[in-house]
Amino acid sequence: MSLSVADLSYTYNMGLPTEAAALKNISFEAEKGEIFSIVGHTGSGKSTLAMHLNGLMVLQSGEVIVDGIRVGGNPSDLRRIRQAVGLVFQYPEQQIFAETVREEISFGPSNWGLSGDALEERVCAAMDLIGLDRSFAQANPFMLSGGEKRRVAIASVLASDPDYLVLDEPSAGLDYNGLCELTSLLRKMSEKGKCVIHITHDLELALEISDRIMIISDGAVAAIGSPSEISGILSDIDIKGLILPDILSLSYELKKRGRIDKITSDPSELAEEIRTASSCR
Amino acid sequence: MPLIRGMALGQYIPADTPIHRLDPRSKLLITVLSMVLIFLTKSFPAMAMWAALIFIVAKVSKIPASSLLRSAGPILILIIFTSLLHVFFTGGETVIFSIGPLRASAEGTITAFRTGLRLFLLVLFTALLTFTTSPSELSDGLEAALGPLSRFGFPAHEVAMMMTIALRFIPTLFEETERIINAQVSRGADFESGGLLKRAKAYIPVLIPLFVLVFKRADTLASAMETRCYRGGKGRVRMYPLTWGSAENRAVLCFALFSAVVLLLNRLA
Amino acid sequence: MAPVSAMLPRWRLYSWSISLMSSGTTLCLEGAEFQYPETGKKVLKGIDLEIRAGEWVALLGPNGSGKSTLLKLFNALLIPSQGRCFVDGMDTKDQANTEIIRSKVSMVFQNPEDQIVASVVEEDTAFGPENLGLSSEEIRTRVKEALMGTGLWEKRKHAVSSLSGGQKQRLALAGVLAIRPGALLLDEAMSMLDPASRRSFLDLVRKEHDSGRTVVQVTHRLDETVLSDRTVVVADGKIQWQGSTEGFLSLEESRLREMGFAKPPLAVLREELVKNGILPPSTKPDISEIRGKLCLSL
Repeated sequence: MSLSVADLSYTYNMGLPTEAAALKNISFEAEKGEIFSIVGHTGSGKSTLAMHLNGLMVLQSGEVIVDGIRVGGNPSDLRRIRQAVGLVFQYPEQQIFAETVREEISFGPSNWGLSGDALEERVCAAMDLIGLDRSFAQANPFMLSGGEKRRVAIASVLASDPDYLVLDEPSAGLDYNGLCELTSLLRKMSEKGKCVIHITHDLELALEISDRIMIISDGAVAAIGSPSEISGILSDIDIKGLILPDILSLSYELKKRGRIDKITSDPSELAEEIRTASSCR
Repeated sequence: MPLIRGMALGQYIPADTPIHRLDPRSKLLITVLSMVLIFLTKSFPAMAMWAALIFIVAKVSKIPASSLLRSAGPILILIIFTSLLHVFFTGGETVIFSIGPLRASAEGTITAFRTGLRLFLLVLFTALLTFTTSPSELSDGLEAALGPLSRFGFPAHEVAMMMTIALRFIPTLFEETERIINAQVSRGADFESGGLLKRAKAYIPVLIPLFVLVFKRADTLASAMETRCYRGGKGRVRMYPLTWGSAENRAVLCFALFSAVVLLLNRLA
Repeated sequence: MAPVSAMLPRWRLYSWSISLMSSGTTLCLEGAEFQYPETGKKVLKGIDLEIRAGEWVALLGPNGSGKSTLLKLFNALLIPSQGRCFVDGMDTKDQANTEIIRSKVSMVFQNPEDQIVASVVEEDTAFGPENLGLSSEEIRTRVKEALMGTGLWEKRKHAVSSLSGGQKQRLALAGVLAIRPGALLLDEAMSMLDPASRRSFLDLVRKEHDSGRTVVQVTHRLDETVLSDRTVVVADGKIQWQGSTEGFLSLEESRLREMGFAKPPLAVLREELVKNGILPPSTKPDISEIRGKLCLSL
């Protein structure tokens, strides 16, 4: 069981002078139990891709298959797909509307037809998962701090218990502690056997937390592989608008000049490499 | 989202032509006068004159005919509807055909054609204004035109500033609304099924976040404007001050002569 | 006797004062406290801070620490409820100073969408100078200067909505640079940008600092602050730590974590290489500096 995308293309304003290709023949498969990061520059088409994964966009060409169900096939399947694929948009706290945290978080599952104890259970489970104290349940979400709001918003997606969790730039604007909480949540979700699809422009973060990474540039797949594979090949391909993490780009440069042997994105490791190299000479 | 980039500046097509360069006040004046005049136009030769004028202005200001015609698109239904009303309800001697109690008269058909054509010309002529004048020029023009009223307490500057800001935020709010709708649909919101009341209620999860967003934005925007030394309209100088020169005089004179010809043709018919 | 300023037409007064302050503005807080009148919540609890002309200060703190509130005191968007705030010696409490303070101290906010007023690039850039009552010619000069400086001159006639997020934020910067302020306040101005846009924005800030402007930068990312002269950490409405940025970045990693920050990888690398004598201690944890020195020494 997986989420697979095959040969997906999408063009905005097809046939008009403002026509713009957003996705070009994208193919990948994300498995349950992994953190799959999609990395791309602003305007690379990653948000358009995210909206294809739960059928928010009408397919133009290619396929998206979730657990064997085709997006855009049978209209009655759409609800099943949206339940299975939870989508957390950028700045999700901007979608909060309810009067209490409990009501906000139960919006998803109650739309899917849950009620009573089953609904209550889902809400509590989601709050526990994201580390929101149950005493928050009756609080007014608009009175919470920015970080708490973000957690309520993510919990409201988790409450639908999706097997695939797609997050668009979830780390935007978070401080260090917020970021640590987020990464531990993503790890927890993948350990629970969920598939986490993490969309970001931050290659450094993606290299740190992902099991696999796909890099897209101008709507097309530029590279796909494990973090170590990706760090190995990034120096050879030129990716528009993508900035390499400092340590990685330094180590490429030193390797190219034959000063060190190993490419790494870890600062201590690089320092060690440099130290050995300079003591040898 | 590239989806709406096309409508970013309303219909404005930037170009450097004599029509684009005209003071927005002169263009506003001519447009307002033409609205009145087109409504007074009855004869077909006079209408042909209007069509010719629109054609020439569009040529000079380098507006593609396709864009000009497309601008009448949204209002086409209205034009057809009013025309149909005229066909059937004007009344007249010569009945061409009838559907049940509805009788289409020859007189009605002619009136319908005339009204439809008139509306069409009107839309095209006003479109010329928005094609050749940027939103902020328009609001500048409006501010200057309403200026004399501010002596009687009319907030001319404020109205113009509101227009500028509203135009600026249309594309942004459009994008944000789209995102909120998508997010709620992802959480299972259903805007399509159920009766009218249920559907209206389904929009609450879209409207509340949108209002919150707009109020927050208004708050920061106010701070940002203060930071940039905004203190209302007093003492503000524009980067491109409006100048009414010989070009404007000539444009208004030409239009006056044209109007005289049109009125004459109207009388003759 | 009427003061001299009353005898000069307004635009003359402005251009005169602006030519005097091209060297940067000093900002000073004396026992500043701030309490939001609506909620009664005390956000700042007695802050003493002096920022010299031309200094680049990083103002750090976790979300909700009061750092953004502090920043807003400097351009009189907020007035201290206790204590005082001075801009080039002028008390922000005195409303007669507000106009001149705003022309000396400009602020770039987090979201570019919240601060762009007009629909066309050059028209938005002109908004500030237009409010100053300068001559149209002077406004055009400044707009050109600001748009050239931020790399947006080619796009001056474009619609704002056709710009990317990074370009929009550069436009927001151009809009305040056209006022030619002595101090630039950045309120998490880079937090919504992707790494490439962040880098180019930071380059612009460096350029402004080099030309003598005071920079006060609120952020929670330490990799944005490596070029600053001084770091001030605010926590719970008080100054928790202050000193040179260099000193701050070489604090123990655990100490930084305690305050809610991650040490930037480059700072880690620099520290280890300095320890081993490969890099001179004067090296800043800046990518181009380290790259330059490493390629020479290895």
